[in-house]
Amino acid sequence: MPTASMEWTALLGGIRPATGLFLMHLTAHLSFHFGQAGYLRRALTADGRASGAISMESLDVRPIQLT
Amino acid sequence: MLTDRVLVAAIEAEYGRYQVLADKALEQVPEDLLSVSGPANGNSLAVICWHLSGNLASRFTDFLESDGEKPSRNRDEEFAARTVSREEFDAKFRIGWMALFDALAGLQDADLMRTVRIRGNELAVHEALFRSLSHVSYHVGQIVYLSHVLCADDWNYLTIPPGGSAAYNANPTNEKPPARTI
Repeated sequence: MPTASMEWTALLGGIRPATGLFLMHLTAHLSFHFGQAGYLRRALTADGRASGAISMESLDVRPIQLT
Repeated sequence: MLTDRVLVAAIEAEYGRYQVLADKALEQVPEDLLSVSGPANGNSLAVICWHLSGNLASRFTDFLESDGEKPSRNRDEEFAARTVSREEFDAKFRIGWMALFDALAGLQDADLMRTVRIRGNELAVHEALFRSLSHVSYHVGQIVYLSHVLCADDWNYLTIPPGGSAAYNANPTNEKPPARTI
């Protein structure tokens, strides 16, 4: 089972990062481009509503209640 | 060598990566365009700056002790159209970044499992930091995009320029975060 402190399995640009830190880096990079995509989406659709991309609900560790 | 803030230092450096990216985008934008709305009346750079700085100052002032949504914060006001000078812009952004980096400087890895509150909701410190890092990089993405639009043909690419991937891969110089400019 991989853990956050394990080294990534391949060299990345000559660097072998810790798995957890590389995932953090990828998450931030993804959010960077989500921000750009969201800004362009608003410009193209003239719909200024937020997409809820940074919602806190996904951090809730309690089981999802199905109704 | 392992220290007691390996993880915090890595998170701090990743925030720094986006602070530098925003800085290098904004320094290319002429002062009179900092307050101009984007396409389809999108948020101006000044509005994004006021929101991001307001968010960081609220979340990271007394980070471990008080709720991250301060009673003094007026989030809606952050999104009001405003005309600002370069000096006002830089001063406002600095308030947010300093609150963030001052709070991070006081953290050890052991603090990552402590609990903070945002709008009364409890979060582990590591959850709050990763959520905040995503929020920062989300808006820095907007800053870079809008700065590029406003600068048009005068834009200097901050990362790998179009068609430059092969040359970069042969000499990858940006794999580690740069030194912060704040």
